[in-house]
Amino acid sequence: MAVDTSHVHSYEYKMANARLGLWLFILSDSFVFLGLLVTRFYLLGGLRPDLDQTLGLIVTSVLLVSSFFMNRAETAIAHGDQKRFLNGVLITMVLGLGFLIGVVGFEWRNAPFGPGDGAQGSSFYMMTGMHAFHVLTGVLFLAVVYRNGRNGRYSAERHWAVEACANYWHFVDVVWIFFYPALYLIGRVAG
Amino acid sequence: MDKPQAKAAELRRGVVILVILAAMTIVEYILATTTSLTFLLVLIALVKAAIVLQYFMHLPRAFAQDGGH
Repeated sequence: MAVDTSHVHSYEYKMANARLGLWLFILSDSFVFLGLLVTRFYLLGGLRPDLDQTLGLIVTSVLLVSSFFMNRAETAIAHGDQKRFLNGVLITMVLGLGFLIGVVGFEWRNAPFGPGDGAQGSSFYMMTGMHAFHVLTGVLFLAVVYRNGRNGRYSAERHWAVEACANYWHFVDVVWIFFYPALYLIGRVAG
Repeated sequence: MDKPQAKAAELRRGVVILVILAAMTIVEYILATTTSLTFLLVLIALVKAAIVLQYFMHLPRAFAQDGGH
């Protein structure tokens, strides 16, 4: 008996599979960050690294606003608004770079400890370093989407790459939602 | 609801979500600096993550039968 496989080549079918694949990737990547989070509490317990609270709040706000603009960009392209979509992606990129400058450029330089300075140092630099690497790859992804967007590659009906990029960016934001309190807020400052 | 209205409504919802997340971040910071209720900070983080997963990442779409946007 012949099986009807005509749907297999449809855009909707491919996108459903691609979406599932992306979520499975996000789930597996989550385990990396979950491991780092567990390590932080295992090594430091009720203590936390001595960090600049103002800077922590600023970079957190920057990442939060970047997620807003990414959502705005995705909503725009879903309704065929190319201009708002491109602006949203560009602003998200700039804010993402701002976050990297804040963490790697300032927080890492101003921290009163280095990566080799015991549990405090290794936890902080490993967590923020792994997260910053994901932010950097997210910015690169955004750059590719921006370039393709400017070349008119996306439409309201077909913009899977934009959705994938947006989900990856929001995932990076979700990781920081947990990392921020773990590094800056929970526990008393380590001596 | 016609398309321009639907777009405006979705954009507006994005702003509302941002305001909610920002307010929760401020509450989180104030709680951390004035109390030692760690479980509240964990709870706020979980709620913020759930909001992003639902409204920004559209997690329910992953379980939808059709694959359209």
